[in-house]
Amino acid sequence: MAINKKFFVEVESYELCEKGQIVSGDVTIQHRGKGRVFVILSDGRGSGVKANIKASVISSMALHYTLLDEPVERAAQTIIHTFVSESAESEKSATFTILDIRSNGVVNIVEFGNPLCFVIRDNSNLKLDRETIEVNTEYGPKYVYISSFEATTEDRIILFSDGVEASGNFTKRLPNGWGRDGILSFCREEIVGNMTISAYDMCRKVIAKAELNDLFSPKNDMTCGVVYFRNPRKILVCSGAPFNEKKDEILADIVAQYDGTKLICGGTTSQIISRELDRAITVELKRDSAGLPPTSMMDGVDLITEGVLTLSRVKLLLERNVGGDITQTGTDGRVARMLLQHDVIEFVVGTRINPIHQDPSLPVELELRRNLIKDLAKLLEKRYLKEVKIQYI
Amino acid sequence: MSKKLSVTICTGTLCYVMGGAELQVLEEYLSPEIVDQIEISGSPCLDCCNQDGAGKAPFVKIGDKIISEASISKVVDAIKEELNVE
Ligand code: FES
Repeated sequence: MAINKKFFVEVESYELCEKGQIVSGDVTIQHRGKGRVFVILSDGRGSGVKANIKASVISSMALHYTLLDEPVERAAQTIIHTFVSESAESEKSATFTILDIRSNGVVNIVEFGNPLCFVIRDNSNLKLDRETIEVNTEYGPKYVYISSFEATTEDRIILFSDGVEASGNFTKRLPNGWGRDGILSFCREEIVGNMTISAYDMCRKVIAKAELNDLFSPKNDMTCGVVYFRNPRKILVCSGAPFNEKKDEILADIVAQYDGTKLICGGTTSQIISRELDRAITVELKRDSAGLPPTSMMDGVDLITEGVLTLSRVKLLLERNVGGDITQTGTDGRVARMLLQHDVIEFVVGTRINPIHQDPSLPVELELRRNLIKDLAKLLEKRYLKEVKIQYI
Repeated sequence: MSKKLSVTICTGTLCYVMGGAELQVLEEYLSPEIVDQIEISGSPCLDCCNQDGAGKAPFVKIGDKIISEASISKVVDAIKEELNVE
């Protein structure tokens, strides 16, 4: 969901558990709604199930207070009162970082107990003016930091738990741990290497490095969250012949003019576009590992596939996928990955019906394209948080 | 051999579900001499599936001729006939 035409807010996180644990005591949640994006990172201290439950409760409390626009102090106070104990490390017995990103680009940050986050702009560390708020508790005052800044395209926010900061501790190479400066310069190097590195790749790289620092046996849970304000990645998906042949030209025009990735799903559709734009199609006569019809190529188009069979398999894949990466090598996997790599997905659906497709004697049932795409669009929007548009032609 | 005989297999939805999927391995059923004389390619849709009277899917185009209800053996025969070989 793009919250602003200016940029798309990509949020990703990645975590590793302390060696020997099966769940992490760090929890990151992301919530989008009302034109805002919320990101919460909480560390339940310690590892394992207990810590995980604690962190889940904290992050959900933090989210709901923020959603209700409650003053930060109140939220912080309640959480601290509930979870912070008098132990020596009391500051650290329940931590949270809240990012509240508004549609106009204003980001409000609340931090308690976690390592302070970075904002990277033009590949340097943007200094944040952090205001300290004192929260009085029965164990004495606790300090919460609040700050805000206005994000612009290409900014990144890097959040991490203390396991990342401390990674490498007591090793020969990093006797004092990786540290803030280490993490910052690592991120900056990564950006130099790839100016448009996605949040998805960045958080994985940070964690991979932290794991390496700990010589592949993490001494603590480690989590990294990355927010990347970037130009939205757009993909056009054309499927189906226009209802009226006079519109063929318009369809071809949409494809020719589009600035973004282009995908055509449909034999007849691609023939129409090929004819109108006078560009040849080459079918790659190869067996597909998913048993789907072969793909084709055309100048200026990223991928051409068959229509309804392929799309219904893509839908199935996306329905069944729960949070993991899609690894299928067939055309369905390829298309699904392609869709997920984009933020804005624009379908152009031709509504001409091929009557023979509805012949009950066909060996397989061919779903109606329109319904199929509607379902697929809903799935992409609701589960995968994409901005989806459908245009019928 | 001057010009190769073109053999175009339809890989569109209808042809595919009606048995066209098998036709992709056509080449394996032909002798090397024949393979030498033809050029196999695919088409996203030969545009026969929405025309009355074109016959039934799957379709294959050999030269200018459309073969309907194509099966491997039917296509192999038609290619041999076009090329005048046994
Ligand atoms: S699908 Fe084969 S001719 Fe249209």
